[in-house]
Amino acid sequence: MARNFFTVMRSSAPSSTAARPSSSSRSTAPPPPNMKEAPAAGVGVHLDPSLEAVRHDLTEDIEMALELREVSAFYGTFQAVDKISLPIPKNRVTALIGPSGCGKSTLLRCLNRMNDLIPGARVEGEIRFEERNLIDPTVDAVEVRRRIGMVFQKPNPFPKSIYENVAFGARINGYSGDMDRLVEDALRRAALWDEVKDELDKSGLALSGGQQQRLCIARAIAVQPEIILMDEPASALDPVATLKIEDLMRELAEHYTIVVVTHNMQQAGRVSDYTAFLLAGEERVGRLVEFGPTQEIFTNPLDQRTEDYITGRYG
Amino acid sequence: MSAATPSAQLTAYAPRVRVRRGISVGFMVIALLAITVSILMLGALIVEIAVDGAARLFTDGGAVSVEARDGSIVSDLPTPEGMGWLSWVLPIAILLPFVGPRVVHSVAHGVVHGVPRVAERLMGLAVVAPVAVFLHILYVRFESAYFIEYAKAVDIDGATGNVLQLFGEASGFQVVRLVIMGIGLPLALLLMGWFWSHRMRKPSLLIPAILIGAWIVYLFMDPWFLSSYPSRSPSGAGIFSAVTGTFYMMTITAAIAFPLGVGAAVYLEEYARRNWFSRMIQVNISNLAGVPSIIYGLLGLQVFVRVLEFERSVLAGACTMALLVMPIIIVSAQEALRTVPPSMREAAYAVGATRWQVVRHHVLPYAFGGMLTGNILAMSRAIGETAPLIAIGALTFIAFLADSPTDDFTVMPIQIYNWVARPQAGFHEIAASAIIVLMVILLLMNAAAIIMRQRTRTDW
Amino acid sequence: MTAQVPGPPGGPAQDSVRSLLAELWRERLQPSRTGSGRETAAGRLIHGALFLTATLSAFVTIGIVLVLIFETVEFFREIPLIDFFGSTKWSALFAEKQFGVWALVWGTGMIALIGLIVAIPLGLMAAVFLSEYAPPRVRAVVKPILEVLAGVPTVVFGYFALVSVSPVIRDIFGQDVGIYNALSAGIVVGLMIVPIIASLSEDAMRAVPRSLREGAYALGSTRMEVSLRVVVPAAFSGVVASIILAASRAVGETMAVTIAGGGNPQFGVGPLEAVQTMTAMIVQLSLGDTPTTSIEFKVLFAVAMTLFVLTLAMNVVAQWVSRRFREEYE
Repeated sequence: MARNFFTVMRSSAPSSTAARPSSSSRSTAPPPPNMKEAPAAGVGVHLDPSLEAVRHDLTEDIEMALELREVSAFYGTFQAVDKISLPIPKNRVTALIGPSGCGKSTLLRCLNRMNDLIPGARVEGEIRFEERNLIDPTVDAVEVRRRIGMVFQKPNPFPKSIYENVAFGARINGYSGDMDRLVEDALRRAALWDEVKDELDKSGLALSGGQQQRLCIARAIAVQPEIILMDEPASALDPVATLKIEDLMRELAEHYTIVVVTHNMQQAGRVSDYTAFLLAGEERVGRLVEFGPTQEIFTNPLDQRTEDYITGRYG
Repeated sequence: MSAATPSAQLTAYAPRVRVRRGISVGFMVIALLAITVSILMLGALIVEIAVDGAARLFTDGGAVSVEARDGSIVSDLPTPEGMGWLSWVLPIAILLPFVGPRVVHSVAHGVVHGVPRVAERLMGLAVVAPVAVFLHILYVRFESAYFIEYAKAVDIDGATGNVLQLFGEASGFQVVRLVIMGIGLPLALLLMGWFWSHRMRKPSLLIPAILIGAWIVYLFMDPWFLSSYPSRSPSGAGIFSAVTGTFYMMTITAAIAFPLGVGAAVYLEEYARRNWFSRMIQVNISNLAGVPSIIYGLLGLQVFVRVLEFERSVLAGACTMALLVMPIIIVSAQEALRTVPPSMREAAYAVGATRWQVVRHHVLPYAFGGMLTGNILAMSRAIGETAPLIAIGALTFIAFLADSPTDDFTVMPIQIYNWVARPQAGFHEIAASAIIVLMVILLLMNAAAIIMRQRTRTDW
Repeated sequence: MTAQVPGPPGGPAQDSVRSLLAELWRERLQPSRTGSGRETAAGRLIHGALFLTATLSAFVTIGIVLVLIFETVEFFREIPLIDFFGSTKWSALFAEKQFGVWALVWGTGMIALIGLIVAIPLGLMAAVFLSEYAPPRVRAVVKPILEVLAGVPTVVFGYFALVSVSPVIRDIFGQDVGIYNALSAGIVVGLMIVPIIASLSEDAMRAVPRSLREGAYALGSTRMEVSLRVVVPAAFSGVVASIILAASRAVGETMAVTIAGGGNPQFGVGPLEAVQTMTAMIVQLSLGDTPTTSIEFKVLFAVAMTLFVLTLAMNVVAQWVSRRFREEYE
C-alpha cells in the first residue's frame, strides 16, 4: 500500500476537509493559483513501473470523491482497460481524454456500475467511495447509481412529459415531498427552467437536442447525486448548445463532482480542473498515461505520448 | 466508319443483349401469369363465398321464418311493415347533421391546414351516439313485442317459446349491431379524414374502407342469421351461439395468454442472462410455434378436459387456445421490447431505478402498443382455429348461450365445419354466410392491429 | 428574466436553490439507502413470477411429449410396432382393425407434395417480385395482403376446396372423379402455404446486401439475372428453410384436408382419389365419442406422436439449414 501517492494523499485527506476553502470561492477559475510552480515541486511519481502512468501533484489540498485502484474492465475475454489507478477530486470537474477505443467510456461506466447491465462485462480492482468498494458485489448497484448519476452521449429523455422526466428518478427513489418544487429546482439548476416552464407537459422528445441534454442533466440532478458522470455530453450537439452545456458543467461543479469523458481537447481545457489521459496500446487495452491538473497536462505534459496527443499528433 | 471506335465494339454486343431481354420478358410473363392465377383463385374464393353467403346473409327481412319445436319451419310471419328501415334511418338522421358536416369540414380542414381536429369530432360523436343507441333499443323493444304478440295470437304450435327466446337473447346483440352501425360509419369517416390529412400511406385508407364495408354489410344483413341458434334446417339456422361462444372463448384466451406471454417475453428480454437456459427456452418457443394445432388439441384433451376435469367447457377450450397462441404472443412481445432503445433503460438505471422499475415505468409502457398489436394478431389466429377444439370435443349444436366458463360451447369455425361437412347445399350456403361474418371479424381485428401499430409507434 | 426567477443563475440564489433541493431530499427521503437491500422481496417475487411464465413454454413441450408418449406406449402394448410401421392397411373403425400408419402417411405426403408443387413457384415468384421488382408502394400493399391471407382460417380453405376447386377438377378430369379428392385438398393447402414461402423467402432476399446487387449490375447484368443468379443463390438458405417450414405446415394442416380430402386411408392411391391424412384421421376419431380406454383412442396418440416427430424434425432441419448455410455479410 505504501508504494504510491495515494497513501500520501489519503493521509492528508481528513485534514483537508476542514482546510478546504469554501467552494463558492473558486467558481469558474479552474487552475489553482500555485499552478505554475507545480512541475518543479512534483515531478511525476511512477506508480508501478509496468503501468508507466505519470502523475502530477494535485497542487491543492482536496478531498477525494472517488479513488480508483488498479481498476480493470473486461467484456467477456476482451480486456478494455487495465489497472487504472486514479483519484477523482471532490467538487471538481475531472476530464477523461484519449483517442477512440482507449476505454474512457468503459472506465466511466465502471464508476456507477452501468457495466453490470452489459452481459459478460466484468470489473476488477477497487473503486473507493465513502470507505466502501463500489465494485464489491455486496454493494447495491441501484444505490450506487442513485448517488452517482450519469448523462449520456446522445440525449435520451424518456418519451414522457418534461415534468415526468425529471420527477421519475425522485419518485422511484422514495421521494415524497413537494414534487413541483423539486422539478422546478432541478430544471433551474440545469438552466432549462426559463425555456420550458410554460410547457412542462410537453414531451421531452419535442425539445431541441441541447435542451434534451439539459433535461437529461436535470433528470440526473433531481435525485441529488453526489457525483455526475458525463459521457461526451456535447458530442451530439451544435456549438451553441455545447457552450451552454459547458457553462452548466462549470456551475454544477460547485456542488457536484463531475467526471466527463470527452473527445474534444478544447472542451477538456475549458471545463475541467483535472485531466486524465488514457491510451490504448497495440493490444487495444486502455491504460492511464498521465493524470494531473488540467493546466499542467496541457502546458507541461510529462509524458511524450500526452504531448503528442495534445498537440494533435495522434489520430 | 473508322475501324475501332468504341461504338462499333458495343454494337458487337447488341445481339446478346437482345437475347437476354428475351429471357427477362419470358420470366416476367410467367411471373405475371402465376400472380394472375393466384389472384384469380383468391378472387374465386372471395366471389364464391360471397355469392353463396349472400343468399342467407342478406335474405329480405320481410319473410322471417321461425323454427317450431318439432323442427318444422313457420315462414309466414310477417314483419312490421316498413319499420325495419326506421331503426336505421332514425339514428342516421340524427347523427348525420351533427357528424356529417363536421367530418367533411374536418377532412377539408385537414387537407388545407394539415391539422385535423379529431378530438373535437370524437366528442361530438360521444354526445350523439348514445341518443341513437337509445332510439334503436326502443325500436327493437317494439319489434320484439310485436312478434311475441303475433306468435301468441296465431298460436303456432311450439313456436311461441322459440320466438320469445329468440328475442329475449337477441336484443343484446341488437345493441351491438346498433353500436357498430351508429359509431362504425362516422368513425370510419373520421379515420379517413385523419389519415388523409396526415398524408399517410395508401394502405391506411383500406382500414376505414373495411369499416365502411362492414357497416354496409351490417346495414343490409338479415338479423335473424346472427341472432338465431343452429337448426336442423338451413333456413332456420343461425350462428348466434357460435358468435357469442367465439367472443366468450377469445376473451378468456386473451386474459390467460396475454399476461403469460408478455411475462415470458419480459423475462427473456429484460431479465434472463444469455446462457444455455434462455437459449433453450427461445429455441423451444420457436419449435412450439411449429407444432400442428391438432396436437395442442390432444394436449388440451388430456390435461384440461380429463386431468383437470374442465369437461368440454369454454374454459378448457380457452386454456388450449392460450397455449396455442402463446408462442406467437411471446415472439411479437419480444420484438416490441427490442424496439425500446437500450438508452432508455440506461437512462432509467442511471437515476437509480431497480430492474422492475425500469421495466414497469419505461420498457413496458413504451412497448405496450406493439404487444397489443401482437396480441390482436394472435387472437385473429385463434379465432379461426378449429382442429384443437374438435380434439377437445367442442360441440356443434349448441342451442343456448354459455353462462359460465364451465358451460359447453361452440365457436364459429366449428359451426362452419359442421355445415360444410353436411351434404345439403343449403348448409353450404349458410356456411358461406358464416364465413363472411368470420372474415369480417378477422379483417376488423387486423385493421385494428394495423391502426394500433401506427398510432403507438414512437420515433426515438 | 421573469419575476419567478429568484436571481441570476450562478449567483447566491442558486446556492439557496441547491440547499433547498438538498433539504427537500433530506426531509422526505426514506431511510435505509445503503446496503444491498434494494432487490426487495417484491422485486424477487416479480422476478420469480416472470421466470415461471418463461418456463411455462418448456412445460408445454414436456406436457405434449408426456401426453403423447403415455398413450402411445399404451397403444404399442396392445399392437406390436411392426403392425403400425410395417403395414399399409388402415381400418381403425372396422371390426377387423388394422393400424398400418403408412396409409395415412401416404395421404399426408401426397397432399403436402401437391401443396408444395403449387406453392413453391408461386411463393418464390412472389418473393422475387416483392424483393426485386415491386416498387415500394406496391410492396406496401401486397405484403399486408399476404399477411392477411396467411391469417385466413383453414376451415375457409376447406370450404373453398369443396365448393370451388373440386367441381373444376371434375370438369377437367371427368365426372367419375369424386368430390373428395387429394388434388383439390392439395391445391388449397398450396395456396395456404404460399404466404409462408413468400414472406420468409422475401425476408431472406432483402437481407442480401445492396453491394452484391450493385456489383452484379456493374457487370452489365439484367435485373432478372441479378435476381435469379445473385440474390436467390445468396438467400438460398433462407429460401430452403422457408420451404421446409411450409412443408411442415402442410403436413400439420388439418381442417382443409379433413373437409376436402375425403376419409379414405389407402396406400398407393392416386391424386384424384380420396385420401386421409394423419391429421384428418385424428379429427375423425375425435368427432365420434371414442371411449378413452379403447384402442381407437390410443391409436389417436400414436398417430399424433408420428405427426409431432415428423413436423418437429422438419422445423429443426429448417432452423439448422438457415443457421448452417447462412452467408454472413457485413
